[in-house]
Amino acid sequence: MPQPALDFIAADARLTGDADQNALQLSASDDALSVPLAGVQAVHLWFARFTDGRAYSQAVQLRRRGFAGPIVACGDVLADQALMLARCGFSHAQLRADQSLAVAQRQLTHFAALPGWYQADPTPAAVAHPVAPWLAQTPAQTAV
Amino acid sequence: MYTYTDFDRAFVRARAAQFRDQLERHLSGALSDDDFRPLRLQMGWYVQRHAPMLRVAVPYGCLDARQLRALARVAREFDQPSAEVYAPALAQQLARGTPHLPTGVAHLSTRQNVQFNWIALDRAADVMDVLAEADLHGIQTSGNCIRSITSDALAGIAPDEVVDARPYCELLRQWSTLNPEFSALPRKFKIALSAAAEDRAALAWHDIGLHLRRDAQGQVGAQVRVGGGMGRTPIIAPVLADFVPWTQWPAFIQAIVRVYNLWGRRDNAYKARIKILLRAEGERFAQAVQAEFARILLADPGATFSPAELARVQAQFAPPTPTESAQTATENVAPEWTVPERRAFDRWLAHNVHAHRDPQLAAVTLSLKRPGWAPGDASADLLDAAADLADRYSRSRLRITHSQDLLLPWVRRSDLPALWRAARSLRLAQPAAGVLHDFITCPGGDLCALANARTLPLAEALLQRYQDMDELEDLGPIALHVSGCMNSCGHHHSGHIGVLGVDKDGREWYQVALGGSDGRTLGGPAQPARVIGPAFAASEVPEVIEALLETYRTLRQPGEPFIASVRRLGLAPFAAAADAARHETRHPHAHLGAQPGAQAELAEAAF
Repeated sequence: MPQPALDFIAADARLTGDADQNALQLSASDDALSVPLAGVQAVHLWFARFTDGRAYSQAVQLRRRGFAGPIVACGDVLADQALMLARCGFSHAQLRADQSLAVAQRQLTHFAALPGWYQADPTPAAVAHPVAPWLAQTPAQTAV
Repeated sequence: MYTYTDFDRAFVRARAAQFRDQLERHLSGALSDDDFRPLRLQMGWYVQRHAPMLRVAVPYGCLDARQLRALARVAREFDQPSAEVYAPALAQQLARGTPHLPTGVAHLSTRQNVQFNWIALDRAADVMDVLAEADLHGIQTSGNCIRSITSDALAGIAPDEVVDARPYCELLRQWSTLNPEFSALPRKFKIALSAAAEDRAALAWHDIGLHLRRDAQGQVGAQVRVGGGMGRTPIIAPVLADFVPWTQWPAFIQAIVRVYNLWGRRDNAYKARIKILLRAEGERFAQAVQAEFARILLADPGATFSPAELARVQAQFAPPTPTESAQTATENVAPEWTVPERRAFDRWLAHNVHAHRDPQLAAVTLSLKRPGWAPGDASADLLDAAADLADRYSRSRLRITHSQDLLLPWVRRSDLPALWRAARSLRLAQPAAGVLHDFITCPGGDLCALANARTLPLAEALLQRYQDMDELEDLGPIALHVSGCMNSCGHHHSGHIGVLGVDKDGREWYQVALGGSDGRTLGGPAQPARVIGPAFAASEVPEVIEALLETYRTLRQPGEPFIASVRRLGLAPFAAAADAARHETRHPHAHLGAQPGAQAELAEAAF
C-alpha cells in the first residue's frame, strides 16, 4: 500500500502564504458542503481541540465535492492524528508547537505493511479508484 | 464464527504495535495524560478506581475456545495487582463494607465484551500482543468512536432469524474499524444488529439499532432506529428508515454519523450523545441525513457493500466441523438418573437450553451467576474449563451473552445429559433464562471510578437469597438490572425491576424502578422503567425486592408473569409494599424526594 501522504508545516509558519494565494479558512462549524470553492486554492480546517473531529468530516466532504487543492489541518493538531488526517484527505498538517515531527512521520508508517484499509478512503486517489484496492487481492499477495 | 484473514491478523498486530508506540511515549513522559487518554481509550484502556481497566472486544459476542484460553491467560498472568495496588484498594473497599475484591478474573459485560480490572498500565502493550496472537484486541471498545458491534447471542443459530446476522455484523465491524472520519466523535456511538423476530439485542436502546428483514423481493435490509440510549436521559430510538438495503448501509450509516459528528454538542459530555441531538433537531436531523445519504450514493460509489464483499465475508463463517458423536456418545448411554437429578436436568433443559435452527442441535447457556462471585465474573481456571466444554460439546465455539453469561452454540441434543453433568460439576449449570436468578449488574463502586454506589454486595445478597428453584420457578421470568450509577452499564432502565445506585452526602442510596423492557417479547416494546419512590438505603434493598415479589405473588392472575402484572396493576401497589419495607428511610428525607412514577431522569435531577 502506498504510504498515506501528509506534509507537515512548521508550527510557526504563516499559513496564509503568498498574497495571491486564495486560501479559505473554515471553522469547525462552517458548512463544507455549501461554501463556495470557485478560485479557492487551499482550505485550512481548524481543530479547536484534537478531540473535536468535525474537521475530519469537513475534509471528507471537500474531497467528495472534488476539491483537489491542499487541505491543511491547523490548531490543536497532534502527531497521533497524522494517519487519520491523511486518510480523510488532508494534504498538510501544522502540528501543535510541542509535537515531534519524527513521531508524526512515524505514525504514517504503522500500517505500511498492509495492502490497504477496511474503508475506501476519500483521498483524491481513492475518488478515482473508489474500491479498496486490497479487496481484489488474493491472500497470497497480502503482506503480513 | 468469523475466521480471520491474513489481512485481519496483520491489521490487529499493526494496531498493537501502534499502541505500544503510544504507550511507550506516555510512560517516558513524552505523551501527556490528556493527549494519551483518547488513544488508550480507543484501545480499551480506562483508568479506574484502583487500577487500569482493559476492555477486550468480542465482536457481536462470538469467540472460540482458543480465544477463551487467551483470555484465561490474561486473567491468570496479568490480572494480578501488586501488593502496593491491592492492599490500599482492599482497605478502601473494606471501609465501605466489601470484604473481597476479585482478582485474576475476566468480567463479561452486557455489551458482550470482556473486562479486566487489575492489569498494570506498563504491561498494557504486552497484553495486547498476547491478545493479538489469538486474533483479539481492544480496538474501539471505549472512547468517542463507533464501539464494538453487538448482536443477538443466538445470531446465526436462532430459528427465528430471517438471515444469519453475523456476516452483516462483520461487514459493519470492518467498516467501522479505524474509520478515520469517526475517530473523534462528540461521544461514544453504539450499533446493535439483529436478524431475529424477537429483539434480543436491545436494538432500541442503541445509537443505531438495525433490525434485519426482507422486502417483498426477498432482498435483505434493515429497519434503522437512531438515537436510543440509557444514561441520565433514557430514550427509546425512533425509526429513521423502515428499510435500507444492506448494500447501502455504509452510505446510510456514514450519513447518520457524519451529521452527528458535525452537529453533535461538544460543550457538555452529558448532552453529547446522538439521542440529545435527535431530540433537539428532530425532522431537521432526519432531512440532513437523507440529503447526505443521497449525496454519498452519488459521489462516493465506494460507500456501498458489494455482493462480492458479502460473499467474501460469508465464506469466513464456514460452519464449524462437527465433533465426533462417538467422542461423547459413550457418556450418554443409559445414564443412571436419580429422581432429584432428573428433576434438575429437566429444569436445566427448560431454562438453559435454547432452540437451534438445526433441530439436532441446541444452544446452551453456561450461567455465571453464582453466590460468591460477581455476576459475569469467571476465573482463569473456569474459563479454561469452559473452553474444554466448548471443544468437547460445541465445536470449539462460544458466545458471550447480553446477560453476562457464556453460551455454547453448537451442542448435539444427544450430548445434553453429559454436558449438564460436566457443567454442574463446574457450577455452570444454574438456571439462566427465564428466572430472577439471571440478573445483570455492572461492577459498581468496588471497581469502577464512575460508580456512585456498589453493586457487588447487593448482587451477592440476592444470589444468596434466591437459591430455591421451586420459588424461582414460581416467580417466573423477571429481568432484574442493577447499575452503580446513571451511566447505566447495568441497564437499570430496561429492567422489569431496575435498581440504580446513587450517592448523596457520601452514602450509597438505591432508586428502584419498575416496568422497563429491553425489547424482548416478554416485556414488550422497549421502554424505560419508572421510579417507584424515594431512594432506599442499601440495607433495605433486598427487602424491597422481596416486597415487590410478594406483591406480585399476591396480586397476580394465573399464569401472569411479573412484568404483565406490573403493566396491569400500575406502580401503586408495588410502591406501597416497597415503602412498607423501609426501616432506615421510613421518614423520607426531603432531599431524596421523588413522586412514585416519576421518570428516572427527574428523580436523578434531585441529585
